[in-house]
Amino acid sequence: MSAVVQIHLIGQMLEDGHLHLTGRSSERDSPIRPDELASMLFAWDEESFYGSFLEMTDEELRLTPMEAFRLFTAPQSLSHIEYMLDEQMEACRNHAFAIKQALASGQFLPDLDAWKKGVAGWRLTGEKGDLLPANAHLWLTAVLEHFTSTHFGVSSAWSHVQREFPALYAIGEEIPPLLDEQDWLQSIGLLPDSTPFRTCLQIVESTYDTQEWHLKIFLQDRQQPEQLVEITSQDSWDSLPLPSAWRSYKDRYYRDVQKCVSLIPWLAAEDGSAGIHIRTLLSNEEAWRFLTEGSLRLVQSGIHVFLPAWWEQVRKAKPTLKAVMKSSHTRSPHTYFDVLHIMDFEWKLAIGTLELSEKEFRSLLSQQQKLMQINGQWIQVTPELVSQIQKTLKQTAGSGHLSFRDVLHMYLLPSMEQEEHADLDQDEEMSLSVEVELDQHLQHFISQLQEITSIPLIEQPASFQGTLRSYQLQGSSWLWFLRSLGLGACLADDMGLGKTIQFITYLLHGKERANRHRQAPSLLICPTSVIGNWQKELERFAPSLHVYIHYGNTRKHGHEFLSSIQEADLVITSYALSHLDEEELSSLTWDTICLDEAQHIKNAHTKQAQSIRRLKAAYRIALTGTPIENRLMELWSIFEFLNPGYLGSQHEFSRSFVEPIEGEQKPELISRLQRLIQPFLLRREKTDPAIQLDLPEKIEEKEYVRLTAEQAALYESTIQDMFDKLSGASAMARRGLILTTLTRLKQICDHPALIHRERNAAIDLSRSQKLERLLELVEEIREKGERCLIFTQYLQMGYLMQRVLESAGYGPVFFLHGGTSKDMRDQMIQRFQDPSLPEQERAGIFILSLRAGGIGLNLTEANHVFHIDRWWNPAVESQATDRVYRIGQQRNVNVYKFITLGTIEERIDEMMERKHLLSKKIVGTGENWITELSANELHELFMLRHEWLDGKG
Amino acid sequence: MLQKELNQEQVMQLGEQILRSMEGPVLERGYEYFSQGLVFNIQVKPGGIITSAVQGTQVYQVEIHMESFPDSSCTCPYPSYCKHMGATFFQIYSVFANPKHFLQEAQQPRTEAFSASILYPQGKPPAQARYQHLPSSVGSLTEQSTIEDWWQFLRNWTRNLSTDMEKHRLYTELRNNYERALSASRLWPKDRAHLFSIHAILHHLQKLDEYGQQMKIVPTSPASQEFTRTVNRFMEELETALFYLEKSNISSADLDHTLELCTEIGSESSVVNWVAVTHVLWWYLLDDPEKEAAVAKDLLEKLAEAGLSPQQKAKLELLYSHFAIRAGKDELALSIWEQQDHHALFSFLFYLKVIARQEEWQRLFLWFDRLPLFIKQMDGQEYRLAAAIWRHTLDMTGRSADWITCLKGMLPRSFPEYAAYLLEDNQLKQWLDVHFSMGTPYLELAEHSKRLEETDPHLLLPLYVREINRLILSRSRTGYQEAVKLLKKVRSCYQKLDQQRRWDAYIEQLAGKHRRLRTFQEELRRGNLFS
Repeated sequence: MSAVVQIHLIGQMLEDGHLHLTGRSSERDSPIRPDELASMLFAWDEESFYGSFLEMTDEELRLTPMEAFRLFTAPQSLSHIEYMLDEQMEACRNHAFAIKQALASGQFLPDLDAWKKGVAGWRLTGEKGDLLPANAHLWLTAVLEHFTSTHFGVSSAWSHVQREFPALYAIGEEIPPLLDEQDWLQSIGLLPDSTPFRTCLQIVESTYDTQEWHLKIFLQDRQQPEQLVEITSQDSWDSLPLPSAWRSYKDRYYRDVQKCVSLIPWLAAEDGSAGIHIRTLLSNEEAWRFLTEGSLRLVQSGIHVFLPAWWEQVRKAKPTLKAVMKSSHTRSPHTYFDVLHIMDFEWKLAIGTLELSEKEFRSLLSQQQKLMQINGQWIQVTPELVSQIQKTLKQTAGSGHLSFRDVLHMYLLPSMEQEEHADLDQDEEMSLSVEVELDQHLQHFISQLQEITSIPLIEQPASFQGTLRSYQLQGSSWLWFLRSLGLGACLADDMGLGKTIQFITYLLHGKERANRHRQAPSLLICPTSVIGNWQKELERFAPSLHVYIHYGNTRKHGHEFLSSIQEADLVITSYALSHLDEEELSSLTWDTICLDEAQHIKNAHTKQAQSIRRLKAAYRIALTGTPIENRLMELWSIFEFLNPGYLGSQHEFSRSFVEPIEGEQKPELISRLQRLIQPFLLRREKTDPAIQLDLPEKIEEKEYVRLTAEQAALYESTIQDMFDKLSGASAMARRGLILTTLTRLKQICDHPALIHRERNAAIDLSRSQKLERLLELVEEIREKGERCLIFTQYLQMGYLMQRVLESAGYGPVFFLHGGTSKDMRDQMIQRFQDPSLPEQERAGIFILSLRAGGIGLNLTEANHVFHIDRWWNPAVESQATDRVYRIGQQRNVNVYKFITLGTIEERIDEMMERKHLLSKKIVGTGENWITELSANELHELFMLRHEWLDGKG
Repeated sequence: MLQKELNQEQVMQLGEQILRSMEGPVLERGYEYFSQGLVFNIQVKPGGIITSAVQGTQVYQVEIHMESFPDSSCTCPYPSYCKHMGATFFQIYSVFANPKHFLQEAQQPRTEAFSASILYPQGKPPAQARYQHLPSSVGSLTEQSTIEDWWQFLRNWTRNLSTDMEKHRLYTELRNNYERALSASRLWPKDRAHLFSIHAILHHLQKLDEYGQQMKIVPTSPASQEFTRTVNRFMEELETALFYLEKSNISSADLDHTLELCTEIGSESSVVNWVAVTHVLWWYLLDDPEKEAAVAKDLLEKLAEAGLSPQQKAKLELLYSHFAIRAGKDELALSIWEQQDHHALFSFLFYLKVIARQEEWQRLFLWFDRLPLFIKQMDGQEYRLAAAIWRHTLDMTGRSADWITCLKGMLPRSFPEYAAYLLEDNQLKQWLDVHFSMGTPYLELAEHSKRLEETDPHLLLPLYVREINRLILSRSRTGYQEAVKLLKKVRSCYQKLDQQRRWDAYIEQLAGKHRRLRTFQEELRRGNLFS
């Protein structure tokens, strides 16, 4: 034996020529997995990437006819395996060899029966053909198809043959059903045709009348094609001036004429010339029918047709609709407009080089002619074209007016792409491509919007205390530029790049330009936790600005409010108050409303968001570090604030973007959305080389811990509990239950005491490895004299850690959470950040609840960050981390993320890794999708992977 | 414990014996058992014997003889040295050295270098028997005693042997008994004592045969292994004794008598191969042309008799094959043996050796044509012997280049040497092909990736792609991560080959095929291979 293994191959050849294969190992007499089989039989096959991409099920390998043919005739299998073929396989191999031989010797023909059925099939000639079963003939067809489509030489030869014998193009019903094989083979050139001439038709436009067309018959010499003999309806065969050799082919000629009439019955001559001639005069309508369909059928049946030279061009011309901006609308640079501003346009229809005004093409449509000559050019006005134009006009509001939004949409999303996606929607295929032709002025603006470096830079305001980095000045200039166009702007730079400073610069620039004219004040809405921060920064960088804080119990109402802000350049308030004090805040039109941490209005339905949208302002700005942190709807909400109507109604937006992107993962739609929002969104990342920041490195580490036996038992019973209750629960209850369970599981991973509500339980490190690990790491950090932040989502966990760390001698340990008063918070932050204080008055460790401490704080004294539990959203975590990793940080930043193995946390982590990528692509998912999972999927998500249980317990 | 009771030298020496006797694949399985912790209750017994219990399909008792590994045994049904022994050995070995290294060594192709000595009996020439006290009840022999007397004496001598063999270890008992019997001829002239030892061996073989039948030993019996090995060692002993016998000093009557025994003692046994015994005796003792012709004629007459059972006919034919060889009709002998399955293997190898001793190389080509049929029945040592002779034959006839074809013909047995040869000869595609066919793990092949890259970088692609497919099938993140590493190699391969578009097509199809494996997709993105 010259093989190391022997396998049996069992094959089954299907009707359609596919070969289904299974294999058995002779030695073990056990089935071989189809993928293994593929990797044996196609081990060296480059085409299928060594068997990787063959079709297979769990049971069998499914080879296409071509693959099967190659398997037998040009095997790329492992040569040290002995393949035992069963009877079927043996037969298949013989078929394959027969085909190969026939191919080599040219013993094959197109198969008329197959062509009539609409398949370009082939068969072996003679006896061999009779022996080969029908499905094996499919192999032959597949092989030929393969060669004509992949092999250049074969392919060009084949298309040459097709051009020579257009009858080959006819397939299926296009072939006259009664045509016999002999005739057919003759028409496709496989059998010689001894007739010395060809019968040809010619259609010619009348020189006098655009409504009349002539149809002529010629006989063309096969050897000398330029020699033509015209036959008129008056002629009789015998009186024709024909070469003598042609005379005897009278029957053939009559047959050809008969053929024309049988293919196109209305061509039958009405006068006495029937038999020798056909109709000579056609109406415009008939000429169009002849040109579009009749001629093709004739050609496919072997009758040559000469068409007007211009026809091909007319046929292919693709009309476009153009919206041309009326030139009278040149604007001065200081004209403001919002996105719903209506702009004046007129429609033009472009066909080839022709350009028709709306009036012209409407009158054209009314003539109901399919072929028309305008300015000496023929155009075809098909019924499809008419309905397309009407439809498109209806879609684009038709009336000659477009909003600035429509213009931007049309300009930013060229219709090319609409065609690419035409297959999404059959209707869309019917609509015409629409182009927009902007006037120069608008063109210039829009191109500036698309390229930030082309925007004119403002100067650093003289009253600004400090130095702006160049990208910051660019950011402020951008805000200012959008202001000059009356457009809302979203500044979405990474945390720590100085969005605050850029907005302050914007304010100062405005104030300086206004000279001494009083401008209306601007309004800044931000989370309570960062009001202090804003105050500090404004004091530091722009002491000349009058800032008024509208906050706290003693805040002014009604008239008092208006008079208090009289002198103010900027009023600061919180999101909560923006709704509570809507009356006061909406009593004037602000110069600019700026939302800091704009993700706060992510839910467009909340009263807060609605109130904010109702506030009046000349200009709007949103600042956020994570513009679309969770959902696309959030993006919509922010944009609805910035540029109302720009992304359409919430429903429209949801239908055209949210559902397809989140549901079907259509990346191409993401890029469309990106193009739409790009002019209004400026996002720069720390890693962006253009930023040229000098931030030290950030090192992220994952700290994996395991569950203790106690935790594992709790974990299991919690899941069990949930599944028990889940079966009978209503949809609402189900959602609630799942979310509660999620929280409980995450708490168990932190420490079992969180579940038992043991407020003052003895501190036993052995009950949670997280605590144990935390202490170890803190010891290292404190020994080096460095500081850390610890983030958790759970208040109790925060208290627990505070207690544990203080009792281990690391006190004082600060803890900032949602309930911490503003004063207390400021104190803690200040003390933590102040290096001049003695160690016992500062803190080395700062515990923060993730939500309370995630934003707006500057805690660069720490260079270690712990995430004790995981949040679904990577953006929230990186925001928290950015408290430390921002400008001002001198040292390397270490981030430790705790993950309990085998639990939901590990799975969250897996998802976050995935989502990190998604979020960069402007897509995200919330937590709610979990509640929609099936019981099985839930099980998969929650279930404890036992391999990670702590053996000690 | 083992560390104190054994010393390294002993264990290394055991290792050497194991390398000679046990095959790579069996040792591999043994290693798996060992690494899964399936060896229990390992104990060192007096006399260099180690016992253990190994958990297989059931618990098997293993006994390893440190000094003489072939005496080792296991209660499992495997007919040769088994994985349980291997597992026990690894357990012992691991105390002194890294068992993984040992396994790797065992997996190396082991080719026996040819030397003339492998063609000859491996035993030592018989020495003067030591004095043993003989109980008077068995009677005594003198120099003048006849062969009949000898047999009478031996029958008495082995009266209780069955009981002893039952109680103790088969080979040890039989061997001791045999050696002690030799002291009866202690003071005789050398050649006569020598002849006596041959008869003693034959007699002990007969006793063993009887005992085997009494125990109803068939090839599938658990104890069959021990019987087979005991028989083989006595056969070896027999050939050694015959080889060193000075025939010219033996009377022709005694020779005749000895030869006649052949026909007397043979039984229809599944324990001792009496045809083989007869062949050995004939080869060494039957060289008088007249006598030879007479025996051959007698056999042919018997074969012509009507009413022979197929077994009788087969046995007669087998016996006759000796004369076919003697007459140079190897074709006939080989076709007789081919029909006889494993009974003929001993004879095949025996005559192969003797013809090689006579350096009749051309004659051997015919033998090697038939070799594949016999190879299946050979154990590792026998195969290596045959292969060594064949290779030497090719060398001696100037056909060394054909060796690769021969190796290929001996697959799958010759796999390690074959693969090694291909590698050495730079036939890398064939080399990969045979490894792929054999299912060799990727890591072993990847050791040579540098070589592949230098010689034929195209070959790296199927190697990587195969492993990638396997890794993806593991459905684990670590698997995917490994796959991604390899994908990067595939990418750079295609780049080096200037086939960027092939890579694009590949990665696109791969991502498409596994679009449902989210974790895998994630790793692909993380590796920046596909978005």
